Amino acid sequence: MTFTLAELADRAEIEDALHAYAQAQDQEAWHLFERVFSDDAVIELLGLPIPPLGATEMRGFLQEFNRTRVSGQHLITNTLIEIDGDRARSVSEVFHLTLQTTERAGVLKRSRGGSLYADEWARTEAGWRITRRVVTQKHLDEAEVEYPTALLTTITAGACIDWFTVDLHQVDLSAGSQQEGAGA
Amino acid sequence: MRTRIKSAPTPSGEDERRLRELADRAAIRRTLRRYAQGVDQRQWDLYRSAFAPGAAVAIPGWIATPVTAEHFIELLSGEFDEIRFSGQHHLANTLVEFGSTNARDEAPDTARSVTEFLAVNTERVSDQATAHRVRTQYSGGLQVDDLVRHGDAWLIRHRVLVRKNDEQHIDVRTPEQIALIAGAARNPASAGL
Repeated sequence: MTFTLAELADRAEIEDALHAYAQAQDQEAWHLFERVFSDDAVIELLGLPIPPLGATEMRGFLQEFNRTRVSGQHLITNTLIEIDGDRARSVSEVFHLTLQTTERAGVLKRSRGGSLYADEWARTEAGWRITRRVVTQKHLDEAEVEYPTALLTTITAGACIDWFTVDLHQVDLSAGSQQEGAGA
Repeated sequence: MRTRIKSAPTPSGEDERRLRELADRAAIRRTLRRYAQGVDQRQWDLYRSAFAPGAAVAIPGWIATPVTAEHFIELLSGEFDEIRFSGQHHLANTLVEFGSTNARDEAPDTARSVTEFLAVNTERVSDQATAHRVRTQYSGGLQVDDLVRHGDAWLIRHRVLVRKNDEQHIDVRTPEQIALIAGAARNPASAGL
């Protein structure tokens, strides 16, 4: 398959919007959420006892979840895109890992799982937007895990920074600086 | 916005700018992948090719003062490599914001990228070559990069690694299981890419 320049640009924009969705919730950068869904989008979270959500409701659902969140990651991979004029369809795998506070200090609830995002898209005046998303959970492992205070301090401090705009020279590097290798 | 369909853009004078931006984004992704392949396969020339001269690397919570990319090699590979079996960085969700320019048709020379990573590293628990207890570490976070245009490439000028999670477990492997991953610590398959 050979892509034209316009098709390459369309595909890049769709992938960007998928990433904006994950970065919006993982970095609490909610302005990015505006790049993702059309206002009349419908999001179905299969297996959860809730009706289909609109974009604003979905953002509220995620923000409510994030109230107890320490950190989160939604790694989106294996995206396949099929474009047909001003409509498109995509599927993506997502691996997610979130840490949430519990009532016990130093003990976090870790949720680790995988899902499939099946998305329908429309080219709008603002760019490509998801008009319908169906989320199918594939696996989910939840456990309580202990985190050392210094590491928890580092993670919490990092979650408070706007990494899209911060001057990297001004980042406070001191939190928990005596910890061991970070697997970088 | 509500779903309002508009016509697909037709080829125009915009093409050159769009092509340049797509090429820039591809070059940035390539640099990020070179770093990961260089670190994971211990191909340090590949790793070095991702950085601009004088680049700095910092990890809040581990490295309190930013170090040079060359010094970072020593921190990564020194004592760890005596017991290391393998490393794997999964990169995802890269978003790129290009620096501002004075004119619409002028190419930006700076960019900020934010990328999620999940690293999986395995190593012997002790430095005894016959030991069969293996530690597996899962650590995730962000790679936040300031990049600069460098000829046809984009290179990292300043990297901050932001930690989000970090867990490890130890288990006992059979000699056959250890033999299975014995060739993963240094792999020249990615050299020169």
